[in-house]
Amino acid sequence: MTDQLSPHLSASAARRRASRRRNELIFRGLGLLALGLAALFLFSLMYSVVKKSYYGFVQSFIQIDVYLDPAIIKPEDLAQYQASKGVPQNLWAADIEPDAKKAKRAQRSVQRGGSYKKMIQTMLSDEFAEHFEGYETERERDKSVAQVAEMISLETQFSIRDNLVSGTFKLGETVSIWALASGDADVLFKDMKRRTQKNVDSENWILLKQSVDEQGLSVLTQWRDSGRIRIRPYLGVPELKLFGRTLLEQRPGFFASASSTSPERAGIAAAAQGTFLMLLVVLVLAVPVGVLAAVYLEKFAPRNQFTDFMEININNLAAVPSIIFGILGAAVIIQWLFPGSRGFPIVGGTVLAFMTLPTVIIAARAAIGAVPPSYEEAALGMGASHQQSVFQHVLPAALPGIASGVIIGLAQAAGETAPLLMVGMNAFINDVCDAGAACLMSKGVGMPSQIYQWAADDDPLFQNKTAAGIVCLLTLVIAMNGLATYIRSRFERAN
Amino acid sequence: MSEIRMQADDVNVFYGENHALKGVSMEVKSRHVTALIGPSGCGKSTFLRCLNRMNDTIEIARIKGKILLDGENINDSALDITLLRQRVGMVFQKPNPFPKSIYDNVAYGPRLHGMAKNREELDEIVEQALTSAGLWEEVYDRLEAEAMGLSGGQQQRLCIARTVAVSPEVILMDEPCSALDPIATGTVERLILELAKDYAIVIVTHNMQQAQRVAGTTAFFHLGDMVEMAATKDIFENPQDPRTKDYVAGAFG
Repeated sequence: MTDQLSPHLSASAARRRASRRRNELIFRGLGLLALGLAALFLFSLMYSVVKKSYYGFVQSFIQIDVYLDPAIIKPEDLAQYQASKGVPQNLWAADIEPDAKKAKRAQRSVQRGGSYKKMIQTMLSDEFAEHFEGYETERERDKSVAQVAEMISLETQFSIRDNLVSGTFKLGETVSIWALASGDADVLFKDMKRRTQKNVDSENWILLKQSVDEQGLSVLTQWRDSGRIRIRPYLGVPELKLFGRTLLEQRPGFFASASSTSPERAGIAAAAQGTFLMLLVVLVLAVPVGVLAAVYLEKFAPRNQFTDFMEININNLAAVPSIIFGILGAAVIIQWLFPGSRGFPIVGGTVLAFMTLPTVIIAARAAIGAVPPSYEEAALGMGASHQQSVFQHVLPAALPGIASGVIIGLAQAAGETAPLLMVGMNAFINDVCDAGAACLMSKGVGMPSQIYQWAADDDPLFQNKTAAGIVCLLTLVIAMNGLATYIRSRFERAN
Repeated sequence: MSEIRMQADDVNVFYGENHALKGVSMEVKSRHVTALIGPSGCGKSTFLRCLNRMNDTIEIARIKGKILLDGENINDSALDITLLRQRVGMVFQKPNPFPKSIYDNVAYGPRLHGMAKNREELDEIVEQALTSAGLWEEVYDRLEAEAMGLSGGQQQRLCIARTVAVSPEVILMDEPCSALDPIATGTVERLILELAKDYAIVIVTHNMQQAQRVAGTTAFFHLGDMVEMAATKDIFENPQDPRTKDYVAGAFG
């Protein structure tokens, strides 16, 4: 026992300890704050995107009963057209002798959208006859009916026509169909303000909504008659009545259709197809080249200045801005090698493959390097050649790591926008390509560039589509990264 | 007296500037166990790896000197290295089965070298190899199970079976028991003695008791020199060199 106190028990040491504790506490607090802020930003971003996207995924449909009037489309015309389109005779609308000349004339009459519009208008004017009373002239009444008919998307006209031609609908029947609501109606049904509204500005619209809530529907007629606001008829009585009478549905239609100038019809299908095709090209080009390059560099290449130089270059390439790869594609592939290939998914995919290559090589090298050397040693000790030991033992063992690297590379490629813009993969594509492999060589669009297009339109419906597109892309990328993580964790457990 | 299978003559190994093995000469007899002992970094593993040219995998390693296998210099550049490794098999310090089934592990070598014409022959080779490694009784009913699922001692015996399946002339063992518990070590040691009836075995070990238990001849390495080589009994009971005496007495190492 000594009476000398340990220096660690002095007052100054206690102060030092207290200050250290304080500093550590502050550091921890700052760390938590940073984490919290990041989580908050992420959450608010995701919340706003996901919330907005809901209406992007669903489309409004209105149930209508349309009389397919043989007075508007003549059965003989339809039959001629059906004959020229190769529809089986038992489905023809009338007994006719197929005639090329008549078929040509019939085509004009059958294809005209106006005919079907007229059927819809007739339906509306019958259904809401009392609403259309009181117009001074027939012309004004028709105009009003036509405006009401605008609540139904053009799409419906084409869908009626296609069903007639294919024989699903018969002339003279009354068919009950779900008609896609037009953009204007869609906005109304989705209870949104539409800044680009032609006849109602948003302020008036809010007032209108409030008054309807307070005083009921009759206020609309009053307002319209008093000229207080100019509203399209269908924003007033008939369609709200229709709203009340028939079923109105929100249905998912986002994945079924390609882009369109009418926002109610725009969907992600063509863009998803383009992205899928490009990823296919990336898979075919970048994976074999990348993996073999990695195998060579990691296991066969001699260590010298040249391979060091290559290694530095590959690492640097991974950090090159993606737009540079786009310029490469535009300048080398489109301008020089294959003129006229602008906007082809095969070109977009090639550019993305260039971009992904360094990622794949780096990931594959890391995976190969992580294989325990004991596998290789064991194989060599058994009398396997170097190449045999690499391809029979090292590569299979590295495969999960390589696969996860490849998937992360693909996810990165799927989300890349700039190179797509450079190679013209931002065209307006309003049809899903159904030509199989030839789709690689026809103009296409990718998901990111489709989102970019929609985002440029300030129509709230397109804003919804933008959000929905972002949700799709994010889901794809997160799913791919999740898959990569899963494969890696399985691999780690196996070892 | 057993015949001489391998003969090393003035073997020098350099790792870059480092002279790791200095003029080692020794003989390896068939049907006999030769143990290499010495402190860490003394060059015993380096020498072992010269015997089947595993040092080739180390880029900076340079080897000088002659090593004869049945009168043929294995350092000859014209020699087929895969053939050498077929004839001189190796078992490593840490059990390193392939991440495949037990059967595929043992069958790998015979398949690689086309030693079996059909499945029946292959089955036979696998069974014999597993039997001679004393593993057959334990695994015959689960040959398709993952080799990684075996215990450490079983894995090491599987590696020995895998080596034996290629029918080598010499088996090199680099501290084969250092990763095993005493019971598994005992099993492997009994196996080594059993194998010594057919093969020339060279074993590197840190464990002097092990050398005494299994080896007929022991060589003591120190700082890249082979200090002394003699019958195991003599090395431990009557060492000639003072360094050997200190080492086996536990004064260092």
